[in-house]
Amino acid sequence: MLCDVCKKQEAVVHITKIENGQRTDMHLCAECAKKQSQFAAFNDFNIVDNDFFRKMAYPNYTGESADEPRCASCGMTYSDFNRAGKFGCPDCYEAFKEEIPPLMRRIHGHSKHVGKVPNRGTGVFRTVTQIKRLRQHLQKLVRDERYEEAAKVRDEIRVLQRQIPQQDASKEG
Amino acid sequence: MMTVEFVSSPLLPWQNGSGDFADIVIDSRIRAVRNLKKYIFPDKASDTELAAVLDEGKRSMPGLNTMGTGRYEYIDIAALDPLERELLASRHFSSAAHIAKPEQRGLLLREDGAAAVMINEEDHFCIQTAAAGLNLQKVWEEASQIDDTLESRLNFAFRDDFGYLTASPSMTGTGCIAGVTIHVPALILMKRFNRIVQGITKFGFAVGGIHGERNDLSGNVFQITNQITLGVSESDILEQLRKIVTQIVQEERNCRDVLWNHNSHALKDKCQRSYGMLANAWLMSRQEALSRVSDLRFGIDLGIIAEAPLAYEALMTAAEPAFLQAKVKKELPEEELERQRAKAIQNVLSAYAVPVT
Repeated sequence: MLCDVCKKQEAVVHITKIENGQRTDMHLCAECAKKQSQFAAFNDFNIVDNDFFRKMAYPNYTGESADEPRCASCGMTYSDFNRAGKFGCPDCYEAFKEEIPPLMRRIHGHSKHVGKVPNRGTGVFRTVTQIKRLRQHLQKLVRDERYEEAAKVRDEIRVLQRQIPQQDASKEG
Repeated sequence: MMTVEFVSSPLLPWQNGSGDFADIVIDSRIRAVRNLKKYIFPDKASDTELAAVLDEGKRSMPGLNTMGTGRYEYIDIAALDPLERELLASRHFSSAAHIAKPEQRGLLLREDGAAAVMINEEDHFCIQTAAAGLNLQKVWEEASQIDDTLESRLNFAFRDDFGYLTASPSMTGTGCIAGVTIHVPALILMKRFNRIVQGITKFGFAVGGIHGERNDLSGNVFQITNQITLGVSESDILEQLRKIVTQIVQEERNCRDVLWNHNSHALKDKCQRSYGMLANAWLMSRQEALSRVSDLRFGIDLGIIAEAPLAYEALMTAAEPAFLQAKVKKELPEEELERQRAKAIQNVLSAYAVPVT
């Protein structure tokens, strides 16, 4: 019997498939059988692997790439995170900040926090935002050559900057 | 050796049968997780890093003690024997994940047992509060105050965009899970509960068993928890959960009325039969105990059995292997466990002197 696909080689693989009561027979040569993904089904038994989380969260993700983000603090790559389903340290959120919002939308339906904020934190965030605003205002004043007002704003910024603990100032700007 | 006595008593100090809808709602709980900036999360952390976090936790004790809500005791998980660890986890002060690797794991436990802080579970700190009945506002306020106290000397990992940063992305944002435990025998008996569960799921809430395993549903008792922690505020979560529970309470009461009006003899028989089993059985499996205890509680709620409802919580504890084994200080084979369980249950019943009306 010749192979059903190439109709050249002798068929050595015989597959009987019964789907919804419909019987189909297939006779393939070794080469065509390999090409046909009939056997790929057997590889799918490997579904209970560590990539379960990744498969759920990122069905289209194809694999690691050399330039994928890595957390500088704990060394975790984004693929590591996908395998574990857990972050390694708080800094991972900075390292993967591009990848996280879509993930959060899949899990929570949202990607932006609206709940409680730390007392200590809010002060810092508020101050940083205020400094940003004042700097813009300062530039405008300088452009307009309103130097007296600019000097006042500059002093205001200095006072605010002193309120921010050093390690926070660099991160949360 | 643990010095906190109530951990091994069948009823915790805060389990006093108070709170809204106490006939159906057993308790309300909050879990809020917080992490320290610049520290690796516990699963990945080295012993030195874990020890540093543990130390920060211990040093927060004086602050917690001055809150005026009760004194805290520090419990070193590694210093306990395995049975004591199991007991802590079974009573929800600790967890299976927390005791799995006991080294550098700690627990701050308040003297009334209604508040505790796990150190180095999945996250650095897990604040837990509990109260009887439906009392979400109270448990959240307590958890939030403990959070504020810890935060007054600790630098928690937080971002403007993602909120509180947690090891698991399923907790990111508020880091807060609210849970309400309900006992709904009539909804189960009338096969109405599945439909309710489907509805709850659509609102971002989950229903599970209360004994660790999420699919262990023995005893008609369930915990409803929020699944979403990002993009919703704590007060929204609490309000929605309160509404869901209120609705379930209403439906459970309706079902109880229907059952009572249609066949009060069968209902009385079911409750008193179970009471008889609990009071007289020589051996009692956990599965049977939970279902009989549910019947007994049902009988109390319906006024068939005149008894302090508090016996329910005590009997639920008495059914747990961890409680029974910690009591005799050794691991027990199944049959011995069943014997001890029957004894413990009968002790509780006689302590509450349950009369039949």
